[in-house]
Amino acid sequence: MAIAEPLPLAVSTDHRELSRICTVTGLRIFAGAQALTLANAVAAVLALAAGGLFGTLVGLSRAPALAFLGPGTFYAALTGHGVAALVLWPVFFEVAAMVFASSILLNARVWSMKLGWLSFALMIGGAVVLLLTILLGDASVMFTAYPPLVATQWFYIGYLVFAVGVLGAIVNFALTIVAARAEGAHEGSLPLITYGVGCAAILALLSILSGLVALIPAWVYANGWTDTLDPIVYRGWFWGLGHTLQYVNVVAMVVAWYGIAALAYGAGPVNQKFTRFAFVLYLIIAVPVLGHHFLVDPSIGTTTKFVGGTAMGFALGIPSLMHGLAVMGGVEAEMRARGAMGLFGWLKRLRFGHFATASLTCSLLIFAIGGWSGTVETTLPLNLVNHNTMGVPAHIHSVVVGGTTLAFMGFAYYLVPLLSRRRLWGGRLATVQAYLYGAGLLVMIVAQTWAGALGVPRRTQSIDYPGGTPGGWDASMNLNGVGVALASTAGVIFIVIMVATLVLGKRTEDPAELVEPAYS
Amino acid sequence: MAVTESSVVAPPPGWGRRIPRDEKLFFIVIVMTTVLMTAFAVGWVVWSDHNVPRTTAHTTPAEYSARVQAFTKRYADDQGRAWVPPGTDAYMLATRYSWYPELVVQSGKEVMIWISSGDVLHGFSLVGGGQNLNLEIAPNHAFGVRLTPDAPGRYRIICNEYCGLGHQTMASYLTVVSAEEMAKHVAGAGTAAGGTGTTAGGAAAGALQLTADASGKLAYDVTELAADAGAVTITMTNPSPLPHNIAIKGNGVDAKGPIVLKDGTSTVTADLKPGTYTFYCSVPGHEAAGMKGTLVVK
Repeated sequence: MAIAEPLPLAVSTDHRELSRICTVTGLRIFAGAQALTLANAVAAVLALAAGGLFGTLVGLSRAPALAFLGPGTFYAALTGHGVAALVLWPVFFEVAAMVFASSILLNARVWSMKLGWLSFALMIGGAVVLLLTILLGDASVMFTAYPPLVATQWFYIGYLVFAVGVLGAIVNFALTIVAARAEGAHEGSLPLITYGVGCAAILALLSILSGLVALIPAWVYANGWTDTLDPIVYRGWFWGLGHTLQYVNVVAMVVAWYGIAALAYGAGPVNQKFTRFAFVLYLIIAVPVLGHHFLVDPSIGTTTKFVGGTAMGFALGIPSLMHGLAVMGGVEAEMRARGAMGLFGWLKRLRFGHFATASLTCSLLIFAIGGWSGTVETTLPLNLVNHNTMGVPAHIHSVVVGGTTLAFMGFAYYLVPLLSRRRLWGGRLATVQAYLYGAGLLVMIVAQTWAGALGVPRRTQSIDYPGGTPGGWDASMNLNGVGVALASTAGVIFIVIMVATLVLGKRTEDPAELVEPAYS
Repeated sequence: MAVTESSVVAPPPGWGRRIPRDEKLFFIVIVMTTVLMTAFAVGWVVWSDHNVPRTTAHTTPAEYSARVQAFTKRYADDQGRAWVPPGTDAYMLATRYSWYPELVVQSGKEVMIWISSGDVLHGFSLVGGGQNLNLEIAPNHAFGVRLTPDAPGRYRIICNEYCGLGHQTMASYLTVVSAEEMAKHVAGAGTAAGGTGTTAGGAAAGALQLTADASGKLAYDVTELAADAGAVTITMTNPSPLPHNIAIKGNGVDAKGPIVLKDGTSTVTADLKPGTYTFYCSVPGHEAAGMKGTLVVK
C-alpha cells in the first residue's frame, strides 16, 4: 500500500509511523490503523459468508418441500448460523468500526498496534475454535447453549477466547481516543461517529462482562466439575450478553446510517445534541430490556417481567425513532439546502439507482418493521402466543439482517474502496444486490410472521409431526424458503463484490471514483 | 427543521446549546405515545381475560418425577393416558423427547396443569385449532397453568425450545372430552390403579431383570440378554427421574411394557422363537441415544 506522507512533527517520535492523507475526506490515515481496520473488515465479511452459508442451508431445509438436512447436520448448521451471523460478523465489523472511528476519524495513530493485532488474533482463534467444534458436531446446542444441555468444553473456550479478544479491542479503542487528545491529534468534541461507536463499545463491554458470568460457569458445568447450574439464572446472564450485543449492532447500524448519509448525500444529522441524546438513551435502556427473554419463564415475578420486558421494550422505540428522524431529516435538509422544492421534492433528488440510497432505504424500512414486531413480541399477553414461534426469527431477521446487515453492507461499499483505494467493482451490481437482499428479507419476514401466528416452532429440524401439521404450516415455511433463496443470492453477490473490489478493483486516488454522490 | 447542522466528522462549536423546536415536539410526541402504550399494556395484563393465569414453584427432578408417577399411577388408563377428573391438579413431565403422561381433561372445566422438566430446557407449546400457548419449561422450576378447554377435541402439544437432536420428535396431545365421556370413564375405571407401573417384578420364574441408569443417562445396566425360546418376560426397574419402559422388537415381534417413572417397574412378556431380538426403551429418542441391547433366544 502506497503511503503518502510521514508523520507530523507534533507527535512523539516514539510512535513514528507512516501515514497518508485521504483524498476524499482529508483525514490522516496511519498505516497501522488502515491495516487493522481492513483486517477486521475482511474477517467480518468471511464470518458473514459462513453465517450466510449456514443460514441458507437452514432456511432452505426448513421448507417442507425441500427438507434435505437430517437432525445432526441441521442443528449443527443452525448453531453455526447463530454464532457466525449473530456474534462473529457484527462484532468483527464493530471492531473495524472502533479502529476506524478512534484513529482514522481523529487523525490519530492506534494506541497500541501490538494490542490491536493480539486482540485480532484472539478473536480469530476463538472464532475458528467455535466454528470447528460446530462443524465436528460436538456443539449442536444453538448459539445460546442453554444448560443443562452441554457442548464440548472447546465450544465455551472458543467463546471465552473470542470475548477476551474483544475486550482487548475495546481497551485499545478507549486508549486510542485518550492518546489522540493527549498528543494533540484531536481537539474539541468527538465526531458524531466516534461518539456513536463509543456508545456501542460501552454496550459491548457490558455485554461481554455479562457473557463471562454466564459462560465461565457453563464451561465448568460442561466439564462436570459442578452439577448445580440453574438454567434460569444462566438465561439471565446469557441474555445480558446476547441481547445487549444486539444493541451494539443497532448502535453500529445507526452509525452506519449517518456514515452513509454523510458520504452519499453530504448530509449530517439535523441536530447534534438531539442525535447524541438518542445514543445515550440506548445506553440507559438497552441493558434492562433483556427482561423480555423471561416473559414466559417459570420464575421471576410478573412486575419484573413487565418493567424489564414490556415497558423497556416500548421505551427502546424512542431512540430508534429519534435516529430515524435525524438521518432522514438530515438528508432532507441537505437536499433542500441544495435547492429541492415542495413537500417531496427532496426525495426526487435522491438517486434510487445508487447502492447508498438502495441500502439506506431498505435498512430503514425493514428495521422499522422489526421494531414494530419487537414491540408486539415484548407485550406480555402476546408473548404467550409468540414465544419461540417463527414470529421470533421474523423479528430478529428484520432488525439484525434487514436493519444492521444491510446498513453494514451499504457502509462497506464505501469503507472498503476508501481504505483499499480501489474502485468499487461491478458498478450497478451493488444496487441490485441491496434491493434483492431487501426483497428477499421482506418475503422471509412476511412468511415467518405468518408461520409464527400459526404457531410453527422455531429452531426445529422438521415440522412433520405424526398426525399431520395444522393448515398453513407447510405453505408459510415453503414461502420462507423462497425468501431465503432470494436473500442468499444477494448475499453471494455481496461477497463477490467485496472480494472482486479487493482483488480486481481499479486502483485510484480520484475522489469522484471512490465516492460517487447519490443525489442529483 | 433546521438546516443540516455540521458533519458527522467535525461537530461545530456550540453544538450542545439547544435542540430545535421541531425535534423537541417530535420527542414529546413519541414519549407520550410510549407512555400511553405502556399504560394499555398494564391494563391488558391486569384487566383482560387474554392472560392464562400461571403460578410457579420450586422443585427437583426427583421430587417432581415422583409426583408425576403417583399421579399417573392413580389416573392412567391401560394406554397410559391420564384422565383428569375435574377439580384435580394434573402433572406432566417433559424429558427428552416426551411429554408424560398424555392428559385427558374435561371440556368446560378449569384444570390446573403442572409442568416441569426432568432434564434440559423444553418449550411447552399448545398449538393448532386456533390455540397458541407457549411456556418455557425448566428443571427445578414447575409451571402451573390454569386452562379451561372450551370444546372437546385433540390439541397438539409440541416442544419449541431446542432440547437435543431428537427435539423435532417431541410431540403429544392434550385430549379434551365431554362431561359424559369423563363420567363414563371414571365410573368404569373408578380411580383404581391401572396397569401402569404396578406390575410386581420377577413374578415369573426365570424372568430377565435389568435396571435403567440411575443418574439419568439414557442406558440400561446391560446390553446383552439371553433366554430360552417360549414365553420370555423382561422386567425393568427405573431408579431415574426420567420416564422409561422395556420393549422387545425383531422377527415380527413388537411388544412394549408400560412407561414408568422413578422407582416404577415395567414388564413385557412375549412368545419368542429362537433368534436375535432387540430390547429397548420406546420413549422417543431413548433407543437412538443408546438405550437398547440385544436379546438372544435359543
